[in-house]
Amino acid sequence: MDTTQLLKGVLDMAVLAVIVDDDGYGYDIVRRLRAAGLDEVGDASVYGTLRRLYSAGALSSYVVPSDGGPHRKYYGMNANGRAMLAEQRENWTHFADTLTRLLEQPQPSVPLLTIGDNS
Amino acid sequence: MSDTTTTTTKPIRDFALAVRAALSDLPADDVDDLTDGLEADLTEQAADFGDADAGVAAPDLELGDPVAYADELRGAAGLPVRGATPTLRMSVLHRLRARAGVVCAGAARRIRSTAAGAAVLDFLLVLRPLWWVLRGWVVYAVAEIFLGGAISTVPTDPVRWLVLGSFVVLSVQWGRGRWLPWRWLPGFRTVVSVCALLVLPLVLVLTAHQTVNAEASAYVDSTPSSSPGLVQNGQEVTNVFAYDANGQPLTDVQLFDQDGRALNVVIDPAITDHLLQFDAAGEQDMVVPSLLVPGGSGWNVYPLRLVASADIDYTYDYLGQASQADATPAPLPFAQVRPLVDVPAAGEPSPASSLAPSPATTLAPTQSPEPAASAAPVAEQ
Repeated sequence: MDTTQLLKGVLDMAVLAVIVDDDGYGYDIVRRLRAAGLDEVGDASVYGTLRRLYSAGALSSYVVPSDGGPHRKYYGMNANGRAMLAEQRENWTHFADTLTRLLEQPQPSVPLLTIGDNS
Repeated sequence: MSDTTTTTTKPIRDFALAVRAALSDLPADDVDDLTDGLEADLTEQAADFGDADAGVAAPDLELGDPVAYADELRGAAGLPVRGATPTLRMSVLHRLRARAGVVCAGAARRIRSTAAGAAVLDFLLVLRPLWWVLRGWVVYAVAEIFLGGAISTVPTDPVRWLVLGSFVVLSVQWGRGRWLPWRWLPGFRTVVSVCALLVLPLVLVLTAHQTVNAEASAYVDSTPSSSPGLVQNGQEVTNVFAYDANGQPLTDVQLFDQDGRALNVVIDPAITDHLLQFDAAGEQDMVVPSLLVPGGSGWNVYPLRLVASADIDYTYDYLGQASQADATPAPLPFAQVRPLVDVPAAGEPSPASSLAPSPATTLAPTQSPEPAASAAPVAEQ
């Protein structure tokens, strides 16, 4: 299965998770995600996600001038973001547990009625 | 974090520009938010890429398709996909322009993928300034036809030349990307270019017709200037000789017609300084105007004087130049003519007596007699 499809649904959470302790700027966050094992994450997806989380009020942002280069736009968590991450973490854990259980112990097939079977 | 100091390369700047162009249908604030620091991020990524592949022959970061990148950006940001909700007319225009730009870039890339295509494209690019000049001229021609009132694609006076020059300069400046102070002007320039391209064949055909017509009318124009100013029985009159009542030749006689106009032997006395006249031997003499009238228009003062063919100076041009200093009185057709006779006083009608002398007295001087015929009556005196 294409992991990029999977990633789409959880990228918000992943982004929030890598900046929960340490503020970061665009490519810095991409690098952290890739270092964490999400090799296929697209940088544009990350930048777009940052923009959306910021618009949703989950992130704060500030600009840091850099020496001899263009300024950096840093993103950091705020209370709203932490609450969002906590909720998503809970949902994910529940979902992942469910799916893991499903995959490890396939449910016994429910006998289906066939058409015309009146018994 | 990498502390590698890298400079933003041109491919990255171009890529970032293309991404912004592909997002141009979004509000400017959104575009800024999405692409702020894009160059810096890409540059850093390129540096990482180079580090990871150190030693590999081509350590350049493959930037990929800017449009796809922009779509990914806007998709992740939860912004409307391009073309989803065309709410504003302006945004449609923007989108069209962006799409046209993408199509053009794609076409150019396809053409450049072959050596021959690249060569042809480069050749045409060199000819672009020629197109700019042509575009200025076509716009001038259209303006001339619709506004100038004249159907001439080529200027005929200094003012029109000035207007044409202005159009050409403007077109060239537009071609160089200058003089486009308003945002809508590049779009307007495109519209003008397309229209000019469509009208160009028409203007060329019109111009070709005008050239042919101009040559034809020039030929027609030259004809009247050589037509005689004074005609008798279809023959050109080059000089007039007047004799008084006694049959003696007169000099410096000013003649006028029934409307008071000077009776000239040339069409345009003010600018004509000589009139050709063939003498008995077939040599070209030149009749010149009288100097007694100020302004050089003494063409109605008779008899006009003559510069003999031997005195005409052909040094400077084949038409020859006659000097007034060489002018001599024209030879008289008759030394003198038959004097007039007294007409019988009114109230004494005498048919018999008046009929008898009239053929002799009135016919002889008026019938442009042959020199031999006139000599006879004079001798009788």
